[in-house]
Amino acid sequence: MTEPFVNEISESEVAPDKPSAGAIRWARENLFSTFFNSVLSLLMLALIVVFVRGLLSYVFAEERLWNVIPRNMKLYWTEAYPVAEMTRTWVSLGIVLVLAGLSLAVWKVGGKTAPRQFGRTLTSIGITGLVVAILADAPSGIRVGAAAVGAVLFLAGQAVRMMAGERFKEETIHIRSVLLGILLIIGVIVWILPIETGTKTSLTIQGVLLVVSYLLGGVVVRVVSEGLARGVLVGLWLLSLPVVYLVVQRAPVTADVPVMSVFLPSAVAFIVLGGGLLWWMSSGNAGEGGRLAAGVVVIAALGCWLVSMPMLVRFLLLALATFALAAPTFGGTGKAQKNIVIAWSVTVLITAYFMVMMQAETGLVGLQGEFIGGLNLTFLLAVSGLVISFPIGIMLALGRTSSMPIFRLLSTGYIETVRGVPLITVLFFGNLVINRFLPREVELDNIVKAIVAIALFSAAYLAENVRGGLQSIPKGQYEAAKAMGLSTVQMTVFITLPQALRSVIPAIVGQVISLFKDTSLVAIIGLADFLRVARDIVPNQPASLGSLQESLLFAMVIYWIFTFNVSRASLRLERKLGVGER
Amino acid sequence: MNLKKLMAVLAVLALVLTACDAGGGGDETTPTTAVTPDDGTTTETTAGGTDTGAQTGGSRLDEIIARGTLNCGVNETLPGFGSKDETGAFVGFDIDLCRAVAAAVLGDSEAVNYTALTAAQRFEALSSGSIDMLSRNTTWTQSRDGELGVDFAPTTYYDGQQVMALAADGFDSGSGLADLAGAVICTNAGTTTEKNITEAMQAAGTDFTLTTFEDFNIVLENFKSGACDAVTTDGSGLISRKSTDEPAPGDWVIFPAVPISKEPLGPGVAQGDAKWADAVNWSIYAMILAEELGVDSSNVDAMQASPPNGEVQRLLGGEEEKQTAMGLSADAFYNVIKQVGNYGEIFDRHLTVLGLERGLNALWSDGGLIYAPPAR
Repeated sequence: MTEPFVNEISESEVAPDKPSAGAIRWARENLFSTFFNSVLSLLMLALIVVFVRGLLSYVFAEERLWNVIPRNMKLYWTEAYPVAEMTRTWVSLGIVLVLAGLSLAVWKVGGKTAPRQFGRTLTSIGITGLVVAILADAPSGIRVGAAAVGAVLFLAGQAVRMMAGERFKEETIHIRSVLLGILLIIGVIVWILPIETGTKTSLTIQGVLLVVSYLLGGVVVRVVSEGLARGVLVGLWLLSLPVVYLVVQRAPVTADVPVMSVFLPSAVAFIVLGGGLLWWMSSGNAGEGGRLAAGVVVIAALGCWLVSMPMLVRFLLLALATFALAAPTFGGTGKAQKNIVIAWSVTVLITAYFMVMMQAETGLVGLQGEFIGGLNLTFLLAVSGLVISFPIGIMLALGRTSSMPIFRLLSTGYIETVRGVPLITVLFFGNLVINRFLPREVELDNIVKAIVAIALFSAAYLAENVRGGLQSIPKGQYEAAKAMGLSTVQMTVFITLPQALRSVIPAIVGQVISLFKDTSLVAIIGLADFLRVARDIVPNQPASLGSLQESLLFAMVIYWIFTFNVSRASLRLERKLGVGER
Repeated sequence: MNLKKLMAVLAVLALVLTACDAGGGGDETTPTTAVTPDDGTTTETTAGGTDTGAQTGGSRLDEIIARGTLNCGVNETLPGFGSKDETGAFVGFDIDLCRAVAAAVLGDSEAVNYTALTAAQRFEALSSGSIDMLSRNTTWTQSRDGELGVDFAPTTYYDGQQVMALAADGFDSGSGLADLAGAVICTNAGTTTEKNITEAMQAAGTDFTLTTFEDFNIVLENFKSGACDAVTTDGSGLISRKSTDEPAPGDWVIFPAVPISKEPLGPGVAQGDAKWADAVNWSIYAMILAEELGVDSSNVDAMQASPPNGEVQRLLGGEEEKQTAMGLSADAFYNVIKQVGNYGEIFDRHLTVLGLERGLNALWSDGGLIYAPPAR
C-alpha cells in the first residue's frame, strides 16, 4: 500500500524476491525519495506526533475517571438484566463463541500465518508501546510499564523475524497456535486485572470454549463433507438468534401456553395435510390443479389476518403459501419431493416451538417488558434487523426490476417512501402506529416494534443495493439462462441473484455497518441501548458524576472494534469470492 | 384430472377449516398476567377495613394490592434523586419514596415496577394509568395541578433555580443576576429552567446569551471547558456537581442566595382518587413524623415493642392505629420505617453524600419547611 508504483516495477524487473531492505533503506525509498516528498513526510510526521501526543495526554490525564468503565461493565453489557440470572447471558455468549469457533475452522478463516508476518505484528505492537511511553503525558509508572512491554514485544518480534529469515519463508505457523497463544495472554491479563472472581472464571471458560470448538471444527471438517458442515452451521447461526434471546435470556414459562390443546394439534395437522399437499404439488404432474391450490393457500394465508385465530396458524399458513409457490419449481424428482416435505416438517416444528416460547411469559422475577439492554440490545437490534431485512430487501429489489407493473409500482413506492424519511420517524411510527395495522389481539412489545421498524427501514436501502447488483449483470446471462430453458424463478435463484449479491458485497457491508450504529437511535423510544447506557445512565450515577467523556470514548472504541472487524471480514470475503478481479 | 383438482381444493379447504377451528377453540389473546396477591393477610385486612372505600369502588389502591406490585414512574438520569447503580437497579431519593409507598401498601419495599420516564413522557404516563405514581423530581405548579390533572403529594424536597459561575471571574456567593451582564449562560433544553432564567434576567434588566444543550452533563462539560461563563439549573443539581466536579475547592460559586425560582418537588398521582392519594400522602408523612419522633430503621423494633408515646404507638400500628381506616394494614408505616427509613435517613443516604445540606428541607422544628400533620 505504501510502496510507490516505481518500486514495484523495479522489483519485478531486477529481483524475483523482495530484497531484505533495512529500515533506513525503506525510509529513503518510501518517505524521502525526493525533496518535495521529504518535506511532506516530515510535515505529516510532525502532525501525527502532535495529534498522538494530544490524544495520549488526554487519555492519561489525571482527571480522567477511567475506573468508571470497569465498574459499570455489567451495565454496559446488559443494562438492567437481573444479577442473579447473569449466567444466562454468559450461556448466550458461550453459544455464539462455540458457533464462531466451529465456523472459523469450517470456513478455514486465517488458516496459517507466516512467522515473518507474526514477527512483524509483534514488532508493530512493540513500537506502539514505545510511542505511548515516549509521547504520553502520563504518570511515570504507566510510561515505564508501556516502555518495558513495548521493548519486550519489539525485541521478540525482531527475534522472530531474524530466526525466520528468508529461508523459512514458506514455513507457516498454524493459526491454532496463534489463537492458543493469544488466549493464554488474554487469560493471564484477565486474572491479573482486579475484577470479580466469577467474571474471571466465566471469561476463562468462554475462551476455552472458543478454542475447543475451533479444534472440534477441524475434526468435523475431516469427518463430514465441507458443504454439509457449512450448511448445518448456517442453519445453527440462524437458529441461535431466537434461541439466545427468546429462550436462554427470557427464561420463558410455558405453563400458561396451550401447547397440548392448540399448538401440537395445529403443528401435526399442518405437517400431515400440508406435507401431503406439497408432495402432490411437487410431483411434477399437478399442473393447473397445483397452481389453483397454491393460489387458494396464498389467499387463505393473507385472509387469515383479517379474522381472529391463533398466531401460529397465521404464520404456518404464510409458510405453507411460500412452500406451495416454490414447490412446482423445485420439485420434479422423487428425491426433491422428499426434501421439500422434510423441509416443510422441520419448518413447522421450529415455527411452532418458537411461537410457544414467544407466547410464554418470562420467568425472570420482578421484571416486565424490556429487560434486555446495553450492548446485548444493540446486538439484538442490529442482527435481527439485518436478518429480517435481507429477504425483504431482496424481494423488493426483484419486485422493482420485475416486468409486472403492479409489483414494480409497489416496490418502487415502498422503497422511495422509506428512503425519503429519517430513521427516527420510522422508529416513532413503528412504536406508536404498528399496532393499528395488526389484529387487535396482537400486542408487540417495544423491542419487537423497534426490530420491525429497523428491518423495514434497512430493507429499502438493501433493495437498492441489490438492484444495483442485478443491473450490473450482463444481458447475456439472462439470455443464456432462458436459452437453457430455466424458468424465471430458477434463473433468478441460480443465475442472476448469486452474481448480483456477490458484486454488491461492499455496499451491503456499508449498510450493515451503518445499521449497527443506527440502532443507537432507539433511545428515542425509550429503549436502553449501549449508547444510552454510556451517555445517559452511567454519567448520572452519583458515584460516576463527571465521567461523560470517558464513557463516550469507551462507547466509541467498542463501536469501532465491531465495525472494523465487520469490514475486515468483508474484505476477506471479497478476496475469496474474487470481487473486483473479474 | 378433474378428480385431482377436486382433491386439491378439498385438501386446502380442510387445512383452512382446521385453522379456523383451532382459532375458535384456542387462545385468541396473549395470556394476561395472572396475579395472585402474594400476601393473603394484606388482602384480608383491606377487605375488612375499607367499608367506605369498597363502596365507592375501583380505587387504584385496591388495584395495586390485587396486582401485588406498584408501578412507579421515575427518573434514571438525576444523580441523587433517581439513577441506576452498577447492577442496573434504580437508586435515589425519589426511588426511596416509591419503595416507601410499596412498603406501606404491599408490605414489601421491593415490590415496585419502575418505569424510567423523560420529562416529556411523565404526565402522559400518569394520566394514561400506565404508572400508579410519579416520583420524578416534579415541580408542583398550578397548571400541573389544574390542567394536567396531577394530584401532588406533600413536597419532599424544596429546591430553587440558581446560577453557578467561576470565582476566578469575580463572582462570589453574594453576586446577583446583574453581575452576569454579557455572560454566556448555559442550561439544558426543554425544561422550565430556560424560561425562568430569561424572565429573571429581563426583570434584572441584564443582557445575556442563552445556550442550551441536550442534557446537563454536556452543559457542565462546556462550563468546564470555558464555553459557558455560567450554568443554571436547580440548586440541588448545582451543589451535587460542585461537590464532585469542581477542580479545586472554591473555584466555583453558586448564587444568588435567594433562588430565582421556587421548585417544590414531590411525588404525584392521577387526580380523582382520594383514597389512593391519601395512601401516598401518609406514607410520606409517616417518614417525616418518624424523623420528628426519633424513630428510624435501627430502633423501630424497640419503639414498636415499647412506644414512648401515643403517637409513636399509633404510627407503628399499635392500639388506636389509624392505618386500617385508610385501607392499609396496621403495620404499614412500621414496614416503611423498617424497610426504607425515615425522611432524614433517605435524605442522608442519597443527598447528604452528594454535598446537599438540609437547609429548607430541615424539619419545621429545626427551622425548615418539612412538616407533617399529626398522627391521631
